[in-house]
Amino acid sequence: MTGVVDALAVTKRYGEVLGLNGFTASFGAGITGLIGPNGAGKSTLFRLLAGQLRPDAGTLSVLGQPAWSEGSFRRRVGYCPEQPAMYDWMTGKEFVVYLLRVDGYSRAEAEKRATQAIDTVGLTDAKARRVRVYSKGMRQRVKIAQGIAHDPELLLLDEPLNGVDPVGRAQLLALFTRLGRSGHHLIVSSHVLYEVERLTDQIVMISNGRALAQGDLHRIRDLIDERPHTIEITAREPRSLAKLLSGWDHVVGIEFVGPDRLTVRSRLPETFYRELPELVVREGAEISALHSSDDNLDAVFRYLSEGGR
Amino acid sequence: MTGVDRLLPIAGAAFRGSLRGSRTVALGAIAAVPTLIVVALAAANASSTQISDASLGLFGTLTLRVVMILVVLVIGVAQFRGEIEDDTLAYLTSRSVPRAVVAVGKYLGSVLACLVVLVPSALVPLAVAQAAGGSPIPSSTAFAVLATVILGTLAYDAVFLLFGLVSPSALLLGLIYGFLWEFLLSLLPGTIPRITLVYYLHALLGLSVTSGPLSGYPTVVSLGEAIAAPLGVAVAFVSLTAVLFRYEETAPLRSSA
Repeated sequence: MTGVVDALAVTKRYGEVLGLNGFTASFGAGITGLIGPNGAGKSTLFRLLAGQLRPDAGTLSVLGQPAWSEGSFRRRVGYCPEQPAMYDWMTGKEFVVYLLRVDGYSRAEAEKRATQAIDTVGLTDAKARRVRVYSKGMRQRVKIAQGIAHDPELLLLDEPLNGVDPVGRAQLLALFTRLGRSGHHLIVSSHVLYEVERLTDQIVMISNGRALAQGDLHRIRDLIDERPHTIEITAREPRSLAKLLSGWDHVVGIEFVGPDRLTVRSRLPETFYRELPELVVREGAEISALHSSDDNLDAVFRYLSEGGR
Repeated sequence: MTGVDRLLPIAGAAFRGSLRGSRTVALGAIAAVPTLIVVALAAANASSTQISDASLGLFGTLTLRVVMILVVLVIGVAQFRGEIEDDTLAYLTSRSVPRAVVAVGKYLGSVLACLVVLVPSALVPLAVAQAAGGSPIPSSTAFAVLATVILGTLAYDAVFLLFGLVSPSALLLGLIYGFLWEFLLSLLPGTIPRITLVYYLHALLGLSVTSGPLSGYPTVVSLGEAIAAPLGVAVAFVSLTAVLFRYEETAPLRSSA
């Protein structure tokens, strides 16, 4: 693997709890979304990448360097952690200036870069206020500001849109897109899947500390197409409908989920959607609602995490 | 920019971060106790000798053995443990700054913060005693008191800095060290007290002060040894902290996955 970030069989334990469990993935150039539910291992991966934790097993490299190491390569990496904690007694600008100075910038250069970064994230008016009075959204912005202020090659963003208002989300998504287009590499984690979809097609899906799938979102959807799709049908007589559908070769499972609802699993969703209207007309089946839960990224994730891989 | 240049912002932040909020108020209140006792003695019309002796005696017992331990413990432990528990250390460990520089910077900043609290705590009672008509206190005695505060802070802060890095129960560990180890072992006969820091601090006072309550500490070490021992402890523990920090994970115990 020769990605921007390469993980090979990385395992990280917190006592009895597995944070990562043989996680293997390669994060390439540009923007990559890391998606998974809370507790999937996203923050553990970021903490490992940031040098805060050491892998118990496996290898993890960042820009070609072992993640568990210190040195000048870290100046090429920006990190926006998920946790809201900061040095609350500093002002937003002091916070960014401080971290730039720790990174080796002179006071003048740090002041200049901090001002630019704070302007970029739209926090100019609040830069002189103490961080302790910041809202969650403002905290996210100042965390992002310290992450981008040194113009890093790789930016690690752990749930960067948490707590940000809708307008702010749009602004930050635009900023991330801009950074990606200007040659920066971004790894953005989220459990709000549509946000990742708006940002990139390159995704790594994580659950229970393992990478479930990675690559182009459309390719992953193709993978789904080779597997049974789940369609939920609301019908007046679900049992009669089930009897009819059970005769179709591509239907591999039917489950009743309510008095008027059933879910059908089909290996050929296109065929299913083509034949169903014909069945309705021919047999007079009354169907009031049809919903495929497999038509968005959330469903893709759910499908893979439930062992469909 | 050299590592030394990066020390300054880290030490500055450690200093400012140590002296803030309700913690500062509490530490200030503890540090003010010796002064308040001397003021109370003066208000009670104690004799000039009693006031002077009390101001010096309080330093040897209360300030050195209680106030200093508490102040340095709270500030020293918080340098790493506070950041680990607050989950802010990632901002530093994800930067290009060598971890040893972070450790030394935090140490220097916290020492300075401790001294801001402890130097007045040690010297103001002497000044109050003088102002209240107490017997004159030689400047050499005041200097010995100041030197003891500085050396004690340098040594204890290094010990507590390490505790804060390596132990989630650093405060408890520090209390055991400060009030059991340092107190009980210093009371034992023979050479056992020499494994406590307070022995050398008392020795420094005993060797530097020729009369009054602070002159009575028996010792078999020389003045040079009394100074070198706390400095040696400081250097050893800060070095150990710097080395261990390179290998220490710095996320909270229960990290969200």
